Amino acid sequence: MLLEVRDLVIDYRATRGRVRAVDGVSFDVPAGAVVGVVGESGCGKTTAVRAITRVMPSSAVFASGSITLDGIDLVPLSEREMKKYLWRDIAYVPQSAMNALDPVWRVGRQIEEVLVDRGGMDRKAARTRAEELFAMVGLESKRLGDYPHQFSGGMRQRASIALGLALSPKLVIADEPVTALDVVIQRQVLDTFTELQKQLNLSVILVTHDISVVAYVCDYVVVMYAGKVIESGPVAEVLDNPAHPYTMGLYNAFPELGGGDRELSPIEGSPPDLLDPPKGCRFRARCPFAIEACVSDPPEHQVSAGHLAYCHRALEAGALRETAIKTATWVGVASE
Amino acid sequence: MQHADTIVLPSRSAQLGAGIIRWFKRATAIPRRDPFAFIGLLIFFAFVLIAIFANSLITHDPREILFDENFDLARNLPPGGEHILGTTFSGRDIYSQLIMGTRGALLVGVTAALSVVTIGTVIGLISGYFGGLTDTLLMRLADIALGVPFLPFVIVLAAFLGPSEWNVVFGIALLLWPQSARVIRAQVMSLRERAFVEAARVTGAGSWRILFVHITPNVLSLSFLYASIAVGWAILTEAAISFLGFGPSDSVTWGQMLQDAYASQALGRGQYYWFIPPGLCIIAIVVAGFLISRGYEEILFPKLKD
Amino acid sequence: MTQPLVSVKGLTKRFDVSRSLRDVITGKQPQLQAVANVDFTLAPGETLGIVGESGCGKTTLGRLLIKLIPATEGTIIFDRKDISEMDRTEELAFRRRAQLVFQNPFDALNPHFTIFRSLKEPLHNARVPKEEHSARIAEAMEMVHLPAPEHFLQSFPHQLSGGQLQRVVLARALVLRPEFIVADEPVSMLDVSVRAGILNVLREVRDRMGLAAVFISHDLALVRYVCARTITMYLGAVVEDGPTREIVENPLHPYTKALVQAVPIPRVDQSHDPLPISGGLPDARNPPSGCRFRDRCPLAEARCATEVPRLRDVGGTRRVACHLV
Repeated sequence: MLLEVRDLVIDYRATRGRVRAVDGVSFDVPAGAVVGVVGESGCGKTTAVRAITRVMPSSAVFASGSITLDGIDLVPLSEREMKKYLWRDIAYVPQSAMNALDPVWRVGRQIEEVLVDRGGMDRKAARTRAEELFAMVGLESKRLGDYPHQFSGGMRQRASIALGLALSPKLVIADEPVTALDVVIQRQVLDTFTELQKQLNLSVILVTHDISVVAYVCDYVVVMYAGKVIESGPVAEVLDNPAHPYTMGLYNAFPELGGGDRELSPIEGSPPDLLDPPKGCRFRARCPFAIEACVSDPPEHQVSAGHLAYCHRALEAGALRETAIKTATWVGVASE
Repeated sequence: MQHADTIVLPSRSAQLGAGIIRWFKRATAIPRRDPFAFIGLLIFFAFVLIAIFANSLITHDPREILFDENFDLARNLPPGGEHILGTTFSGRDIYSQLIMGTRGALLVGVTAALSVVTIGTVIGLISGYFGGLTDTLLMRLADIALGVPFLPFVIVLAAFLGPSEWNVVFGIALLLWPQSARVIRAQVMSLRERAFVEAARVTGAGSWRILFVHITPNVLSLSFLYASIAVGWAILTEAAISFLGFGPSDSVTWGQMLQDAYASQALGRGQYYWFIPPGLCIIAIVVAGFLISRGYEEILFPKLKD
Repeated sequence: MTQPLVSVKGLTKRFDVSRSLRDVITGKQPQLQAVANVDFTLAPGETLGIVGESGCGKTTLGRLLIKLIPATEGTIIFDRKDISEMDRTEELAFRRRAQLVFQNPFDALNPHFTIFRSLKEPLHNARVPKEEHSARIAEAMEMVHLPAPEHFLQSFPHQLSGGQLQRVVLARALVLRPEFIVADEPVSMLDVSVRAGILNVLREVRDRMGLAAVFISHDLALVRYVCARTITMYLGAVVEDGPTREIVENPLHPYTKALVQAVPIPRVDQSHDPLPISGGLPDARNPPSGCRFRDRCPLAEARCATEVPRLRDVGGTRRVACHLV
């Protein structure tokens, strides 16, 4: 196991009070695997994942939990010690490439800076490596001399991936890396990314709101809702046999290109306000299968090897799935 | 689910009432959060109250020349007894002058602020929305107004129209509108491209309606910002004009008090109780304006989210 | 065949782009052809999807259809009237019958207006008598499945969620009982679990009101869910036109083929085959000569560089702009 996150709790200091954005999140990243963290906006996935890199806004407060990389707990490390890990062991590819690339510097120069400053290479070796990296992500080496604004969206994304891979990290954290891209470019970038991942045996955490991307690229998936993990496991398992009503609902809410005329059913209502989260299961208000017991915290349930779900009715998952497919199940569940 | 005939909308007066309460809540939201803005508003309202109740607060007629029991001129009396702040060289009660001066100050300040902000906002709106030739012409006009030196202009106005506090109001209204106009123009130019403005066009609203009904509410907070600064600026200017001797001779203003004190060599006589109070009042209002504007600045230039 | 409600012929839109110093000296004004020679018709009650990636001109096309910007060449006929030749009265009438649903629900409503006020605005502008306002608003709210109690109507946009806001935007478009709606990426800024709700409302509204609609999106899966017919656009030109199901199951134009294959599905057993398309979008200011797609097309021949392919009938109601199909 390359990375183990256990009981991560992160708060935000907002003007209204303390918001617990991440409330006891745990997941594992095996070496060489691609783990997708999926959920709606506000579910805490970005916060949880960025905590691993320690690059968080000043209003974020790390409350408790452990993040173990290759046996070493990163949490108690100081900023300086943590810096040694960034770029070299852990790389971060942000959602918008413009957050990774400085607009006033040539792209090649930026990559070389990282290689020289963090990698201790000399300029010549850095140059060669930069060309290597561009080739890896499918960019022409002559573009190294260009500025970010001269790149198209897809190219910029590839460049920021190249930047992330500069020092051959073990773990790459990609935050919605293809969300802003058009579908054809998205596919091309994802293909390049998976190729690289296999070639270099990278471990990847991919944050996204799009289940289709998870199905295309990931080995494991962690589904988050309102600051908690509600289901996790191998991708095929979780998508074919979802054990949590939210995952079942998500599937139904996705229009599928080859999906015939299946009627979509939205999950009514919205996620709870994390300033004052409800007691017990946080999905209760929007769940068509909620029962009395749901006012208490749902227990962890092992559906099958490596597949976990946090639901009081996880044992009935099979029957619930049948009902969940019908649109009528989801109507009138939550009043707005 | 409600049906078409059972929709119950509140009566117009109830809506109006609710609207006023809502507006009030939003307008006071900032001072409730920002202690500086709150202090600024307090100071300002204190002065407003003083101005309103001036007649009850004064101890003597501020313009009356006073005599003591011996029928001597009650001049240069130090603070104490029936003269809370003492008397001037001509035997007038300083405290009463100070209180009455609040009226003059606020009158000038508020009128000037309202005029300059109205002119600036309207010009900014028209210039920003319509662009083209109109914009060019108006902005050239703004350049001219900016080119004219302010104090000399007001002095020249005093020469033509006779000394009066309205010279200050005219001067400010005619020369200081470009500041707010430019910023509001920029704001309007960006608002023009927003989806809700396009939506208004698509639903059939004409240009003037879009400008005054849809866009204006979104720039009013900016106007208010400039108004609060303009009040202080106007009062300061009035004081300067009066101090230079171009102010009104028949009404009582703080600037006039300062001029009077200076002309009577109050400094030499150590009559601090004469010129320090009006000076402090001027400073207080200007600072109040600044604090209020500083508080509202937050809503106009919100800190970028981390 | 019934008279089409909207008929577009040879529609072209060119924008001036920034000039280099050399252009200023030589007196040239470079232009970008955002929409190039587009033809299609829309029957009353028909939903047409317009699919393409960013830069293909679909948003510009939407704004042309709703008369937000003027066309450079070509005509748009709405109910037998050329919209560029409408006088003020006719234009107001057009605005009552044609409406737009915006992409960004958070920006489409005036932040200073209550929901009620925003919904009243179109009624006011269209001079609908005051007595009818409440009823019309209630009707529109009911159609988008939004509750209409007093407190909701008196709320401000910042108090509502994205899904609720988009329903309000839709309600505002429906309050005048239009015949034609242009929806530009109406769900792209909403969370996934909320999108289905809006899409269902769109389908329902379309059926109940018999609306003709143009649905613009980069997401083929969404378009498939809502639209009976689809046209695909590339760099301002229409490359394929036909019933959505047929286009998705059997795409004919190489670009459409790549588009269909590129869409990921939420199933693990999906194809990872490489796409039959290379490179990225060319600079729109200097598109390739002849067929604009030729430098990325796996089938390109010499002819493709010299001759612009026209949209031809290829059987059924399908049209394709390609020499090799």
